[in-house]
Amino acid sequence: MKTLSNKSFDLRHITSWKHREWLDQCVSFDTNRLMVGVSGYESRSSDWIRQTLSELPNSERNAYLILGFAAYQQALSRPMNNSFYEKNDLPVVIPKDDEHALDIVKNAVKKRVDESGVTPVEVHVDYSSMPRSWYCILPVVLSRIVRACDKLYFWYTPGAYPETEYPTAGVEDFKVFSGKPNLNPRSRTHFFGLGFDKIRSHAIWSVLDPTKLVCFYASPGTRADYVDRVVHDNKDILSAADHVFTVDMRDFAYTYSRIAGVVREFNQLGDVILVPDGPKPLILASSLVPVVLGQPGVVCFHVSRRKIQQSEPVNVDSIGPAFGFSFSVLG
Amino acid sequence: MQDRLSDKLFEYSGPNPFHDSQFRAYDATKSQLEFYPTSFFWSLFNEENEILIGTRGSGKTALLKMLTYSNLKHLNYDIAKQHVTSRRYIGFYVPMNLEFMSSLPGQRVKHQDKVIFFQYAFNCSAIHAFLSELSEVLNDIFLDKKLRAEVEFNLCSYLSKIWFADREDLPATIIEMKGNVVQCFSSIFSRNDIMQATEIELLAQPILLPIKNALRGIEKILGVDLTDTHWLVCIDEAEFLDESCIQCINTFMRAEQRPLVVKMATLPYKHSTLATNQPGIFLEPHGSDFNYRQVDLDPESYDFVSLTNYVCNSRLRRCGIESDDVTLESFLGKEGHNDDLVDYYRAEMGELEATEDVIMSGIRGALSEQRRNRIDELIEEPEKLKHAYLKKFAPLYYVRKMRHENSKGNRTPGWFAGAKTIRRIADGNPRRFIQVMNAIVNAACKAHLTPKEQHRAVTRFCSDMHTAVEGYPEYGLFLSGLVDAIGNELQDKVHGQAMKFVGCGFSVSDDFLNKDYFLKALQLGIAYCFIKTDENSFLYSVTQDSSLRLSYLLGVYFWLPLREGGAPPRLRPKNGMITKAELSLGAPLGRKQVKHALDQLELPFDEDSQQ
Repeated sequence: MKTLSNKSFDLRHITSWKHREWLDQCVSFDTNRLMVGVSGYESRSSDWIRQTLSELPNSERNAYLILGFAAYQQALSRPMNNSFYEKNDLPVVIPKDDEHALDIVKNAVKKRVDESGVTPVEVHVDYSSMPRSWYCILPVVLSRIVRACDKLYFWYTPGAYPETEYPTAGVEDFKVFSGKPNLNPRSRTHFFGLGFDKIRSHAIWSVLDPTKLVCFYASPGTRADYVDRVVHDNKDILSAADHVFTVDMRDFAYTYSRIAGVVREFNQLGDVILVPDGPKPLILASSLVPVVLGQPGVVCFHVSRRKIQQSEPVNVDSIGPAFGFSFSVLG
Repeated sequence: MQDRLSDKLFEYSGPNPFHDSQFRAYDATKSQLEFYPTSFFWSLFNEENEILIGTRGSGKTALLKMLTYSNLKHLNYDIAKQHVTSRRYIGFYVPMNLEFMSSLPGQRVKHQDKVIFFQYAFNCSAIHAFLSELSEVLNDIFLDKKLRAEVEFNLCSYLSKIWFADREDLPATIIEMKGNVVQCFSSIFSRNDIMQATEIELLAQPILLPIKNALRGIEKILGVDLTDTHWLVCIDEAEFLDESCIQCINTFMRAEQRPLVVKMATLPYKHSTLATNQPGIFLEPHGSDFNYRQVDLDPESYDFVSLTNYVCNSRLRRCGIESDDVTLESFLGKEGHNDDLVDYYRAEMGELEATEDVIMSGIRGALSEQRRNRIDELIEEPEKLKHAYLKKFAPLYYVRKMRHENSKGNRTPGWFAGAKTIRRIADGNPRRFIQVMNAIVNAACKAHLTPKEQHRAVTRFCSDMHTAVEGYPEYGLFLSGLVDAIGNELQDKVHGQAMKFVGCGFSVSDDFLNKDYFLKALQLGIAYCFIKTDENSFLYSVTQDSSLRLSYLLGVYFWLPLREGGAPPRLRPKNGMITKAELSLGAPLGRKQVKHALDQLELPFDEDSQQ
């Protein structure tokens, strides 16, 4: 396994965006753009592209790349999403696997940068419906392709989850996504990002046997009652934690720097092992922390969900305007 | 009910002293304060390679950490002092945690390279730990600082020549030397080819060989006799090792490598191979090359009772309950004279209902007609009747009546309560004990801890733990369905129309054990202490002769008597065979498949065979 690292990656100069603000300002930016979206069974998977298309002037400056998932092609909102893209002449490309998906995006970005000459390029990725094996790695791999004058944007549309008990995804496999551990550290602190799946959180807790435990979750979250639900469902884990903090997931710059700040604090005592769950912006921010800090003793685990046959897809409608962040690479 | 110390916690708003349940969270002072050395702990000081098999939370890490020289010397026991003074056993702790193992480069390389990566990383970790303990030994031997520094310098020169021959800057202190080891370890992350890692030839040798090669010289430099010293290599969390890594450790154990002795902790069934790195050579258990040892304690053993009392005593001090005679019993209070089941039953149902005659009559009424007839035949022989029915069926009858009481609106019996029950729920697992105590102390802060309040806290805790099973890795979904199927069947036998002589026990037939997912789910349940089995099956493998039972935690959830029961019912396929559709199933199973597989199970109970 190659350790994820990127020396030119600089999240100190990260900017949080609301989609509305960006739409209002972007007409004045002299850039070429590539928008990367997906077609999935969640209705929100086309929302960001839908709104962007409707408000951006039709221009050759704006190019689009839509990836589709091979599974569940007839499930829930997938046919509707496909038909929307079709009507707008945006072909849906179906990658063979995760690696192929990343290659398609990398090649599209490279092509866009190459054909733009001296004109800066904005790459926009709507990761609302992407799997974590795509969206966590894209900031790192794309930052190796773009130039200092270009900008990478990542957008997220918050979703409404079913009120009823959400089926647990369980846990399957624990993989180090980023970072490397110290040899025989003095102590180990596990950082758990919490979400709705309390059974999964409990299973992760049981397997990892945290030494010291720090928990974090989104607050304010997508909705106030979501925060209450996370606190209620995870009360056992929260009560076992040595430290708990919250992050405002709509402000990615704050979320990232808050997590990185607390990680640095605990890293003075020994190793820090991040195990993110919950909303995607939290998972993304946590996954990037070891990459950006680049020091031994900070590790991020990705815990894969149980891949069971006959699992039922769950629809996720958008529940508010998209938000995101942008950053550039160092020259 | 007698006085309860827990009443002192009523309206207490400070931190719950049971909120942390991990030994690893303890600093040096705290670990010595909270570590209770059981007889099992002392038995680990021997010259045999041993693999310690224990469920999650059974205290493996605590045992291994306390075997280290630096921790042992702080234990205030005569045996510990003897071992330290004689330097007969010097332990060093080598963790194999998940992030260590899964961050190692070479996860997807060919077998031979993988072995080299592992040996290199393992040796770095072992040398680092060895140096830490060597430093402690130095401190104890050389009280004169100048002399100590001189010996340390000589030691470092000697070890550097053995371990870091390529380096020009020789370390003068052990701290610097540990820094060198860290640098070597880091080098494997920055090289694409493992063969380019720093000091590859020395550090990628078979595991522990670099240390073994250094031992004789160390003895000379220290100027002390270490002829009788055994260096205990305490390898923790070996459940995260794959077969190729286990083979490296097996190879070490197979070869006569004393005075280095392995004490390796892992989960049940995770020491998955006896193969070594030499084709055709296998490790032999039963003392030849190593022994398996079971870490989990019997919930009613002297060791577990003492341990739980010790934990209560030391933890409750944190919230101001300070007295040498704090025990679990004094904290929870005792019911009646003996704090027995009948005492709790009496407290709920009244004196009259708890008399032998009334209970016997109740038992008679709850049994099948066939059994009622047998009771009637014994009516003139009260002693036989008492032995064959009263003693045997009373625990079943109590729990049956209590559940019935519980089903009445607004009625909560104080049933799953008291020290004996709490220890049974912990099932010999210290962490589970701390977790259930966490729930109980939370309840004690809000209300006086009557048996009813204890019952409420305990049943809520057991229900939460039961819910969590589903999320466990790999076969968690199937395990969850399996314990539910078994629990419901047993519940039906206790609370159904005619009460049957069962407890939490069951057994399985080979038809099921031949199914990989079934066996793996059972093993997962045993590893996480949701299913208990006999020692042989725990250490080796589950067979159709294994005695199995649901953990008492699940016994509470399903309202079962917290005991194994008589001859446990055997799980078997309905209609005597497993259908073709089921045979084609492959793991991991989805919900529908789990249901399909479990719908074919039954726990038949042959009334006549149980007597």
